[in-house]
Amino acid sequence: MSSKGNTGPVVGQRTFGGYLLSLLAWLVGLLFFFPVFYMALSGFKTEADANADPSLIFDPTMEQFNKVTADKPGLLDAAEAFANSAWIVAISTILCMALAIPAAYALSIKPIGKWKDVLFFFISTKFLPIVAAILPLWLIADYLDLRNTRLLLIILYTAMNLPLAVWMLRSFFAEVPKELIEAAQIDGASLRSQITSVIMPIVAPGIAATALLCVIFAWNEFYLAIQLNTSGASTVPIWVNSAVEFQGQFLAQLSAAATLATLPVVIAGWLAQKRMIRGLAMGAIK
Amino acid sequence: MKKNQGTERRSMHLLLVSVLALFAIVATACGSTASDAVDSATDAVDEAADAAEDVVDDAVDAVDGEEDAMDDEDAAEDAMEDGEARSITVALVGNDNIEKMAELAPENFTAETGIEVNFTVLDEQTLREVTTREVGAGGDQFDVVQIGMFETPQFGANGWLVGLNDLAAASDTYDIDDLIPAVRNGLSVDGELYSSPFYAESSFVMYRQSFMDEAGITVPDNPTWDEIADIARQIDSDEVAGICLRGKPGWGDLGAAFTTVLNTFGGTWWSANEDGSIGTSQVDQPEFAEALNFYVDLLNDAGEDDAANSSFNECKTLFEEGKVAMWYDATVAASLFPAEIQADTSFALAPVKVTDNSGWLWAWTLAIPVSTTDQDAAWQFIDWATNAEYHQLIAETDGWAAVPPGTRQSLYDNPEYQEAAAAFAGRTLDAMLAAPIDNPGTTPRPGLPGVQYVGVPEFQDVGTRCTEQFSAAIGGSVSVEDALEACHAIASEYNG
Repeated sequence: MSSKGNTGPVVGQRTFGGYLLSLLAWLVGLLFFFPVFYMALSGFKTEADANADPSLIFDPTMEQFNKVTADKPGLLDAAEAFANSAWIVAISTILCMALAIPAAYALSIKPIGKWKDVLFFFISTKFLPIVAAILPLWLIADYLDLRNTRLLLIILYTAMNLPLAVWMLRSFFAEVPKELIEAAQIDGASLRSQITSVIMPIVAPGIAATALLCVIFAWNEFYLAIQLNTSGASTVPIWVNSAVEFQGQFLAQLSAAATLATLPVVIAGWLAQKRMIRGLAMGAIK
Repeated sequence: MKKNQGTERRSMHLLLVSVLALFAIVATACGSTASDAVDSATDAVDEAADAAEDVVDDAVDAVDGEEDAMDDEDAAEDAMEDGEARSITVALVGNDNIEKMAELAPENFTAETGIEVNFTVLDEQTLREVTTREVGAGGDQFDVVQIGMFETPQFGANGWLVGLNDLAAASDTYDIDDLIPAVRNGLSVDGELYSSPFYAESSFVMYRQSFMDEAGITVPDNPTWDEIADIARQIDSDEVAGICLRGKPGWGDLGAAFTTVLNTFGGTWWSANEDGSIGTSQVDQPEFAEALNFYVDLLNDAGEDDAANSSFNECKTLFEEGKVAMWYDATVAASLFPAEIQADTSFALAPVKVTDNSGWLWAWTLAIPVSTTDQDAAWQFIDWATNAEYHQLIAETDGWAAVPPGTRQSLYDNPEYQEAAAAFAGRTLDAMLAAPIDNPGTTPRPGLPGVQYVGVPEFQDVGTRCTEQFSAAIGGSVSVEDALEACHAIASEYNG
């Protein structure tokens, strides 16, 4: 159907430049992925192989995975660390979203007075480096007898992720077309119906993306955990750290521990991605 | 309309139940086991009440600190009387020796004493940060901490650690006089021992005998650095590097190896004031430049590949693979080689220049922070893990060669150990005894005794930042002159 003289590419048609860009995207993707791939690979090596010249060919072994997941009396074992992390991450993310969703609504769809100041106040709590706050946090936690408990990290991770969640969700809420809400109001929908039937389906991918980020940040957090929960309710990053030996080879066992530690985040990302894509594909005004 | 109201009410109920369920989940998560949600919700209320009571109690206790301390002691005594399980928490650096200790503790310590031991294993740097903050701030998280020879005298002098002399004297199993003198001195302040060594090391030269035989070279038992450098350059080839030296930044990595060279070249980091405080930076002195030039040139001419990123583990791998002929590092390495490598390895004392001895001295030790709530249990554990009977226990399970070396004379007097560790036991003891802990160089040093470090807290910062410069010089990205100038500026920040 193209008119005579129109030689430009049709949408969806591949050009040489397009192929080049695809190739570049793949190369960059592989470049970013390679260290993760090599880490996973090293987990299947013996210590001798992992410490020798880098190689992709070797006799794979489950030795390191068995070693890091073995039950060690008196020491932090994998099952305990994963259970602690799972509880802390799940609950802190639920709390974070429960607080951030109403806040984001009040800052975008029905903006409260001076909403910009409120938004700035939220993000300003992230200006202080966490290392500067660690001593007061430690003293308060010590005074309240909360050190080495899951509750402490649940509170801290909720607070840590809240500003980010509010900012992210606000931008998703802000994209909800006003016309849709007005149309719902004309149809007599209550506030709750507007939220559950109109707004939520549109911002669901955004909520999934925000929740995923909260999960990732909470799962990977090391500094607060190591300073406050060193000897009890310790999380997965502390367990990974215990695979480092000070005199002796540890690259393979550290790789195995790190690979296991990344698996839940990868799975969470995969699940959230499916949700996000479905949400995006549904669309609102198309 | 009625139908709508009914739906909304049901939804509100659902919301209420959801919120209650959420609190139940939080409560469950905070406990150590998952129990059913209803019980947890009830428990959560009880716990909240208990927590509130605890907060009030804590506030009262905080007003009367002495009473609090007495309460702790009473609690420990009550626990003993009631037959309740006593437990201690021990912070450690991860390695095979430590994991062995954790493995043996339940059957050999807890079964005997009834004291449960929880181990927290961290990497070296993190352990340092956590224990320094914990011990310094008076936290009661740990009853026993693993610290090094650098921290022990400083923490001891600050009053952060329990002195061990009286506890050792009262023990039937702990022989304090059996400790190797240099190690005991390095862990004491004014004669009071502040931590008990678990294992100790010096430094020496290890070399592959077959490589030397092939080249017709004899390495002296007590070599100079010039001799070692000559041999390294002579034997260096495309396949085999002459020598492996630490080049990775860090006061305990490159900083340790280089400072022993610096000491024996007659240099030092700072001069000392009469009261023992830091004087002025000596990094601009000719001896310092000579030592650093020597170290960098030797690595450039005959060192391992990628020396700027190499430390103990990297050199150990290269040595075992036959990619380096000599290696100057910790004596403990000898006990970690596979048998076939051990058979081909010979040893020489740490090389010297203008001093008589230059080997470093280091020990990993167990100490009791004064904030512990059960000092008696903490000492019982340290006694068990560091006395001569523990050596016997390791020998029974893993053989004499696996016993943590360097702490007790009795180990070196034991004929079975002498036989099992024939390859390195004698040389290790020689190196330990020769380590110049009290007088490592040619000039007085500030702070507490130390060989491969200066015994002042400031050295951690200066040593780490300067070795970043030196490592860059080894890697070739900055000149030795620029590295020295930058380091002099860093060290001068602390001039007294």
